[in-house]
Amino acid sequence: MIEFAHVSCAYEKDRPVLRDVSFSVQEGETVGLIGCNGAGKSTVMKLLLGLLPCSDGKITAAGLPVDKAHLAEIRAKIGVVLQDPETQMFMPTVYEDMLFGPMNYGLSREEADRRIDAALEQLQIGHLKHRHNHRISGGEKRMAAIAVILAMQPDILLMDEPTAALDPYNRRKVIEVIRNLPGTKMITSHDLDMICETCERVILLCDGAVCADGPAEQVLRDRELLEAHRLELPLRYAHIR
Amino acid sequence: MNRMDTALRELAGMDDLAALSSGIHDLHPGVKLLAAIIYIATVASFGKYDLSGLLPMVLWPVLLYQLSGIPVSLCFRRLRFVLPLVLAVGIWNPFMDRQPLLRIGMMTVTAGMLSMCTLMLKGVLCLLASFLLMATTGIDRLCAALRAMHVPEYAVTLLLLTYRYIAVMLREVSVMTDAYSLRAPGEKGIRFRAWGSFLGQLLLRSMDRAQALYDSMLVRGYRGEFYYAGTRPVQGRDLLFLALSAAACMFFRFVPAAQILGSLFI
Repeated sequence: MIEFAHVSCAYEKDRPVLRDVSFSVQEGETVGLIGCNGAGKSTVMKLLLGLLPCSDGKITAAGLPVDKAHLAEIRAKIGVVLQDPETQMFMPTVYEDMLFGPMNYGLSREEADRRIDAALEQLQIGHLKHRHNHRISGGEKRMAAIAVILAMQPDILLMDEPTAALDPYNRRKVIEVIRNLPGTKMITSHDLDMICETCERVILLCDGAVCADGPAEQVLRDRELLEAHRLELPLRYAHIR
Repeated sequence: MNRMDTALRELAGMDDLAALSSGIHDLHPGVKLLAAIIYIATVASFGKYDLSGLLPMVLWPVLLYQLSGIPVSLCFRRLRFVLPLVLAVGIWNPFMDRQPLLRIGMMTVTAGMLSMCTLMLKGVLCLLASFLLMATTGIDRLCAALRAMHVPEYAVTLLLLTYRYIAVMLREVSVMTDAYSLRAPGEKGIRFRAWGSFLGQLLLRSMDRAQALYDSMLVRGYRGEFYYAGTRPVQGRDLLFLALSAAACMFFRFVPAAQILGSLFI
C-alpha cells in the first residue's frame, strides 16, 4: 500500500533530512512512526503526499508512484491529520471545513452530509458541527481536524501527533476510533503508549534513517534502543529493567 | 487581548455576517458581484462636480443594508482605517480649484469644494458596496462566482489565499507581539531597533503558515475549483434583483432625480 525504496530528501544541500529510507506498509496495517524531534517523521508524511520532492529513491502509495502525474489520484486516497490543526482548519465553520474535502472529490451534498454526521458521531463532537473554527479551543480543534479527515473516508490514513493537546478523555476516544477504523494507517507520535495501543508495527527513525522496524511489542519494550534514540519506554512497560 | 486579536476577530466576524440569513444573503453570489460592479462603475462615472446627481445613489446601499440586516454603522466601524484615506483623496481640491460656483449666505462654495465632496462620497459609496458584497456573500462563495464567470483559476486562488493570508499574518503578529511584550514588560509597543528582525521573522513565519495552509487545501483535493461553496444555479429572483439594480443605477445616472425633486419645492 505504501512503499519507500531508498528514499533520500534534503531541505538544504549537504544536510539530508532522510537518508536511504526503505520500508513498506501492507494494506490494512497500522504502523507507528516514532523518533525524537527532527528525526524526519513529518518529512516522511510530506513526501508521501507529494508536498516535498525526494532527491533520491522511489515512493509508491496505493499502487501509484508519487509523482506529479498521479498526485491528485493519490491524495484522493490519503487522508492526513496534520500536526497543527490551525493550518488544517481554514474554513469559517467546522461543518464547512468537513465539507471541503468530500465536495472536492465529487461527492453529492447528501453523501457528504451523511459522512460528516457519521464522523462527528464517531468522535462524539456533534455539538461542534456549526461552531466557528476561531471560537473553539485547541483540543476541540484537534478533534474537529480528525473528524474532517474521517469524513473523507480515505483508504490510507496518516496522522501526525493525533493526540497532542487532547485531554485524557478525548485522547481515549481518539485511540478507540483509530483502533476501530478499517484501512491502512500510519501514525507519528511521541505518545508511545498511544502507539502501543493502536499500532501492530513500529518504525523508529533516527537522524533521517530507519533504526528499527518490527512488531510494536518488541520495539517499544526495548529500553536500550529507545533511550539510545532519545525516547523513553511507554508507561505500560516502565517496570521493565 | 491585543489590537491584532481584535483585528483578527473582526476579520472572522465577516464570516459570521456572511452566515446570516436574509433575502440579500440568499441571492446568487455571481449576481451580487455583477450588481456591485455595475453600481461601482456607475458611481465612478459621475462627473467630479455632479454631487447632486450622485446623491440619489446613496439609496441603493442604504436599502440593501436594511434588507440584509447589516448595520451601516458596522461597516463604518470596520472600515475606520480605510475611510480616512478615502476622505483624503480630494482634500487638496479646494486649494487647487478656487473657481466660485455659488454663495450660501456669507460662504462662497468653490468648484474645488464641490469636487472634493463628490470624490469623498464616491469613495464612501464604493466602500459601502464592497463591504456589503463581502458581508452578505463570504470569500468562498465570491471566489466560486468568479470562477463561474471564467476568471482565471490563478487569479481567484490568489484572491482567496490573500484573504486567508491576512488572517494568518494577523495571528502571527498577535503571537509575536505577545511574546515580545512578555519579555519587555516596561516597553510600550516594539522598540525601533527590533523592527527589522520583527518584520523579517513575521514574513518568514507567516509564509511558512500560509504554505502549510495551502498544502492542507491541496491534500484535501483543492484544484482551483470551489465545489464546496454550494453555489446554486441562477434563479428568476436573482435575475430580477440584477435587473432592478441595473435599472436603478441607469435611472439615477441619466435622470437628474435630485434636481427634479428639488424643482418641485423651489
